[in-house]
Amino acid sequence: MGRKEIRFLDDDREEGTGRGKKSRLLAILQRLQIFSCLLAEGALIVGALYGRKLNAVVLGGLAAAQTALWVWLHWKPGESILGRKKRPGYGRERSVPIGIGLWAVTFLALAAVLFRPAAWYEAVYLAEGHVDAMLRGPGSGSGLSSAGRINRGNLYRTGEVRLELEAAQAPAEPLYLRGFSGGDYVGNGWEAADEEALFVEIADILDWKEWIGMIGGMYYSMYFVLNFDMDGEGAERQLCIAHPDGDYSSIYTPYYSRSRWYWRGREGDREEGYECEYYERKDMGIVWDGETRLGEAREWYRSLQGACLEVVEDAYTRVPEELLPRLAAFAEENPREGLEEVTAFIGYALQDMASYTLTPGRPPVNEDIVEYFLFDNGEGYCQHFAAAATLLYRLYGIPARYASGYLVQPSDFRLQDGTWRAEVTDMSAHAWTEIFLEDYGWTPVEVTPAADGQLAISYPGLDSDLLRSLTERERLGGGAEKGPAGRDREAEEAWDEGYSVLFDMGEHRDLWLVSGSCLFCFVLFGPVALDDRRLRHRDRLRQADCKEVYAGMMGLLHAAGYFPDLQGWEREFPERAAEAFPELAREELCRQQKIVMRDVYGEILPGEEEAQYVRWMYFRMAEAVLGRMKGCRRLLFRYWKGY
Amino acid sequence: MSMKRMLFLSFSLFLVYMAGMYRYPALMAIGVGQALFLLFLTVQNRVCGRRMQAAFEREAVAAVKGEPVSCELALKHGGKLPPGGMGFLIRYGYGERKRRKRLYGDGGEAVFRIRPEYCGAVRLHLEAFWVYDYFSLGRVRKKASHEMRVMVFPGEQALDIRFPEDGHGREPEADRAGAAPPSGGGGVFQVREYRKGDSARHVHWKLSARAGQPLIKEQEQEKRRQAVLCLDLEGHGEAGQQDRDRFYELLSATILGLLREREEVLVNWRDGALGTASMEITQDSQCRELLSRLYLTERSGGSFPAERDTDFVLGMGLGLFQGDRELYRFSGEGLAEELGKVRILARG
Repeated sequence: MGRKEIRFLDDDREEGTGRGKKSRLLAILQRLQIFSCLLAEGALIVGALYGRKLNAVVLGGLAAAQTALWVWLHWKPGESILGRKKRPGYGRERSVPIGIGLWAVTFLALAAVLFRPAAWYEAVYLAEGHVDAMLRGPGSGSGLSSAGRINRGNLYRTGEVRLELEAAQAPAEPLYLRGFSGGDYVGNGWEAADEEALFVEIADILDWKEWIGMIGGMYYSMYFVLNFDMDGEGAERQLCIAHPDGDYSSIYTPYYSRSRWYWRGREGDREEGYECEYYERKDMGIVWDGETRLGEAREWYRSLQGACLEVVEDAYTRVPEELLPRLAAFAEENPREGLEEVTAFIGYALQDMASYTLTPGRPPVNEDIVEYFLFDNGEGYCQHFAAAATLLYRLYGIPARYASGYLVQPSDFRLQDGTWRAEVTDMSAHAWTEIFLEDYGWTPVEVTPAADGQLAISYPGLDSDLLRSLTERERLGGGAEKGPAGRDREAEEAWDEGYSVLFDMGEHRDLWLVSGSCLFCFVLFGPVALDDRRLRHRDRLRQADCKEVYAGMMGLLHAAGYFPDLQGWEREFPERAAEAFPELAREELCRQQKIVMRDVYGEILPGEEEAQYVRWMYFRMAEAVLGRMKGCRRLLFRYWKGY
Repeated sequence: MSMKRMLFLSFSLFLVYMAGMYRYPALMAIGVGQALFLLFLTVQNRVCGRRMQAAFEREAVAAVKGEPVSCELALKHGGKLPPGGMGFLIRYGYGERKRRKRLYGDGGEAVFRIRPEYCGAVRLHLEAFWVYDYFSLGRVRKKASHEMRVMVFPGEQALDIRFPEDGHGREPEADRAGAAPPSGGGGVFQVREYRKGDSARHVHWKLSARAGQPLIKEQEQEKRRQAVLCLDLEGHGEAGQQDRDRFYELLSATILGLLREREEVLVNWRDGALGTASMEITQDSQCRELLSRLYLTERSGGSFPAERDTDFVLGMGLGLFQGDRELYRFSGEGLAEELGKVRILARG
């Protein structure tokens, strides 16, 4: 192998000056800085996941520190020789403006975000919604799962048809089609209600072990059958339900109903689906005494209801308090008795502490969604409201279950070919609470506010006036602690009422803090920037020729108010200057003047040594002038004028 | 979009997403700020890149073999903001053999140094350059086409050539400058006006002082002391760079050695394209001129036989002849040492 024909000399190491080692160190530090930035941002993300957030001031300070570090790492100019590898170093002239630019962009972004953070969040949610729609595609189901898992993020709906309903007459009340009932709460979700176990308990209580197989059928259709027995006018309604996607793993049935599978034939076509017979709430009116067509069976049902009341009280009042310490403490600090009082309190608490939105963001990974919703975020949708209400009911000893499915409004039905039909989309997916009432069984309780923010809780037997008065009492009595939604609403109401509110940094607190820190940084870094300018001016003088330096010196003297009548080349200048500044000898000033004259007019230009002498005299003159100034004038002269 | 830029943008958007999901305004600001800065960098880089021009500062540079030579790149950019780092793609090599080299700088000065190891013409071709943004996340590439030539000459080593029949030899180079014409030999000379290229040694100082202008004394033609050197360039075009390097070294040393003993060296050779060529060399600097012409000769020339017994012949095989007589054959590997040690005794 021959020697290399042409060697490229990458850096000064080749010349043995050793400067290359420093630039390698800088390159390593630069890479480490990038790594540390990424690490810091990664730490911020992990902190956010666990609910640990730094405020804007601290974060702004960190950003400023990183920027300053970058500027320092690029302060020294890079190697003057082109090399094989990229090496850091823009020099002061470039790194400072770039650093300032980076800093300015960061603070502008901070100010823009802090001014209207909600708008930025909504923009992110909008983008997420589009991506979600693209990724999920048709047929993938609603974000609102019919299983017991409580969604920890935002809810995006596609409008896809999930159910097709057909009825002989349009419903007069909102139709709750239940698909899932929750049993035990397991943290961020519900297990499905294990009613088989309850049937075993009921069989034990009633001593119906031989007929345990009948208990389920009786349990599910009990209230329809009993009401049907009472109802002589045929108020029961029929509802046919079909799933367009053919997935019948979850069945959706109305309350107070009985259902059956069948093949629905229509014009010779066989369609899969199921039919329900049900009563609307207004048509329910079970009377245990009186005529009955059921005969002895009515007493069986009565016994069954008694046993159900007993078992549900135990099964559906359990709350894992270790998972929900704050919620448990909340219930303990606000004791209430009776269903109406508890309902009024829950309604008031939900209304005061939370507001409805489909985009509440995400809770920290180590926090329960229900507690985060109620005590931290204050925003959520039906799943969160239903879960919170259910748990609160249970904590107060009232058997309750979380239920999910679809809520179909009467207005969703259209008359078509003599029948009323509705296409139920994922927009109707819903979650609610259900409580067990005597003579009604499991009854839905609507705990999610309507579009106007008002909560309209009702269930059979509830006295609305009583509820209203109890709710008012809660409000006047302070009620629940103010959650984030409550605080916002208070502030808004105060403004609406025209109160003159003392200036509260509240909403724009962070913005004020950022502005304050910007001012602080300006005060802190402003002098640094001015000093940098002054140092650059001095650097330029060190490279300048004698004429420029001397002109600079005369400029300095004139700016300080000395010798306005002299230009520096007069014969008397050295004498007068020496008189004004005794620390500078007349001979030295004369020599300086002569050198400069030679530079301007002479045949032989001054050498480097003489040029250095002229510069040295300039700096001595500058020190002498500054030494005679005091206080602000001196600072101004030094930093503002840059001498 | 470069991979780095895409990753940076993705990471910034991820920050924004996470900040939105977890309602973290300060983190949102960091992400938005980063995305904005990336946008600024992209725009600035494109604008800067479009306006940037790069070319070699000089088209030809002389260098001495084995010593570093600086080559400057002239950078022009019209934007208000300075560029970030820069990279250059340079194709280089002797003759047709070219390699590529990537060099990087900080966007300020652009100087690179090379140390050519062989004599010859090094061609440098700036093929492309790119401008990085301030964080080196992305770059804008621009084609360029600019050439530069580095003529690499041998050192000033002279071969020790003696002409014993002369009786006396010429004084070394340092003594020759401004020396009086040989006193013993006398000889008729004529004076003429100074012409460009005339050696200062031939100035007749007394007459020049009287005349007020430089006058050159000139020996009569038949008494002019001239050495003739014929070059055998067979195989020159096909030879490797190392072989050529040795040849040029030897040629330079021979010419310089002859100039120590003679007023002039007439070099003859056959150029494959142009036929016969010749050059009169009276100064050391003209030796470089001759070498430059030979460097640019791509094809093999033929041999140029000696017309007289006193004519020297130098071939690619490193053999030095006078007429038919071989004076010395230099080895390839030990050429440098031999040039310093060998003494050639030639006929006058």
